[in-house]
Amino acid sequence: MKKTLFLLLSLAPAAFAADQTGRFAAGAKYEEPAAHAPAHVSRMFARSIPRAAASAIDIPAAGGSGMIIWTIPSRPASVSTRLLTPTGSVLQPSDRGSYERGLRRFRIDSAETAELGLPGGAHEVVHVLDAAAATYQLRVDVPDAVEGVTLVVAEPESRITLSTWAAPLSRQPGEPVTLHAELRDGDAPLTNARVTARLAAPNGRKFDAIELVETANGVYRATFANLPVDLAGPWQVRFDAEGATQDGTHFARTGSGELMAERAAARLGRIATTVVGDALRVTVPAEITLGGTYRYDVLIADGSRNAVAWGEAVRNLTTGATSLEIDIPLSHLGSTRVEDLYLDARLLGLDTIGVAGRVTSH
Amino acid sequence: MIRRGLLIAAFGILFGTSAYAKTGVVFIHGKGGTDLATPSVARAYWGEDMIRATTKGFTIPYLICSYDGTQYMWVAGGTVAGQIYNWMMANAIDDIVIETHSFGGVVIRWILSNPTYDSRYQPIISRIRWVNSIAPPNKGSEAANLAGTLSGSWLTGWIVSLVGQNNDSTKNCTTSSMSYYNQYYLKGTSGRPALPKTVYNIAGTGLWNDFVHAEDTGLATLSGVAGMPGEDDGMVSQYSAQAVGVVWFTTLANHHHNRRNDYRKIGDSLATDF
Repeated sequence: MKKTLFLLLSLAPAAFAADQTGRFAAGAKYEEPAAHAPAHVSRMFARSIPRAAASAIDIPAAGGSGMIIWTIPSRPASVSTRLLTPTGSVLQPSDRGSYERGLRRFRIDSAETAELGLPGGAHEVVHVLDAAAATYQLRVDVPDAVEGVTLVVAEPESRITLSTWAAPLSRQPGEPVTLHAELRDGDAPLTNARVTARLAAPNGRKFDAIELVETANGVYRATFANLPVDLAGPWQVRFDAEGATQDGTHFARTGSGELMAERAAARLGRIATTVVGDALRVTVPAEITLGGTYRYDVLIADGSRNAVAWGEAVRNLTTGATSLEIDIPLSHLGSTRVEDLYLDARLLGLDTIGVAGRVTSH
Repeated sequence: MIRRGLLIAAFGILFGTSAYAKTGVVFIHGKGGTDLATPSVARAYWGEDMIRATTKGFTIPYLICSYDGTQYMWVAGGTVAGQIYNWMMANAIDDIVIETHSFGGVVIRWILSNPTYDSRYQPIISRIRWVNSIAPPNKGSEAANLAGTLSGSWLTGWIVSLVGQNNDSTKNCTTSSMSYYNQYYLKGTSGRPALPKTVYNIAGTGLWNDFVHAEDTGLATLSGVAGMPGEDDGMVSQYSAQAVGVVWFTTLANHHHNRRNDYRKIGDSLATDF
């Protein structure tokens, strides 16, 4: 029987493009798209250091954690590092250290770690098993042909965290952008820090730093009306924070965030429903500004936001006014009355991936 | 595990004879370089012993997919679908078990979630028995976030190519991007329609597997730097791997070893499907 079904499917290409509908499993809850992605939580900072400044780099450690110091050359090359601890001990370039001394050195050979996507050159990693709340110094010997190094310093068990996000995750043209950062020392907010953010466009172009303002204890924000340039696609944000804890311990943290700048592809009107035969027809008027292939999705929930049914339909749309329609079998709706339904309709790009529009019935 | 065992038994009773189905196994690798489009490189990604073990000594027909490991899931999905479609048609395979590693699990989710995107998708989906997904970044990877963070080290711009080169497949795998794709394009996470076929996930929870291999140092460093919550395998957190489908088992093999049949005999486990 299964084999017959396979043959039928393979002989019916028209069925591939048919509208698809389905029911949610009992107990499934409808979920509104999140305004922003889950916060990125950082216990690390990153710095790019030009060769001229690499001979003595101060590293603030917040303490209460191990510390990983990862030195990455800007191009395939071998660099060597010397670490000076606050107590005066030194981990020399040729010294691999030991557990007993609380200092260890590793090399990550990129020839063996190609799958990680790490660039060429031998990366140096120094592990301080139990870092003190003090300043360490790293001295890096950088070959003449190398512009500099990127230093990544992490305190994986540190209480000091930087949580960051950018919103809205799916940004339609004209919507304001918010960059959010939160600094905490355990449960306590970290106030009076300097927090900046830089945007990187989908094409890699980067922009000047934006200062975030502390809007509540330990919460820093910047909101602006428009992105620096009108470019659709994923925008990345890098956050940098520096400050001191209540007891005067200096810290630095680097975080990230991301949002999707959508194209002005369509404008959707109000959802309408009618019962046509044994189906619920869900209709949304649309003004299409960028023609192409789209998917019209409908999610249906009941009054208590229990997910009930879904439908999706691929449509080739030309510019101008149109009406999006899909029929959902009434049998998919169970005992839920049509007038009690909550509908979420979306128009998704398929030629270019992105949300063209979204409307709900409430 | 018991439920999966019952399913396997039931499947064996119904379709176990060649008169009803010709079974094959497909391997879909994760992200990496452009050279993963080369079949020999893709084969080396898994290692010969993983392929041998999974296919019971090469007795099960198999396909090692090879695609450019720097591309978005919909680009990779097109390449993978073309290879699977041609292979299954040429060999009359009508029962496919899919084995994925890392980003390969996202690529197959793209195909399963978007059956009308490509005319080859539905015939493939119809033939899939189920998917075994090893260490898939279903909710993204904090290691991929790191690429965006470091690419912003714009002292001069020369650092843009760090960690995963911040290419399209890495951008695809950030926790923000996967949050976006899970909400709009992919099925199988909470609040979204179910996938048309069952995915069994295998999450990695170990880091230091083999002090001889430099990969372990790199993965442990990434794990510590990237800020992965809970357990992880150096590249993908357990919560992310288990965000879609049914938990089959977890493994102490890290991200380097859990696509191979060395530190833990994962290939032997995959072979129990046949």
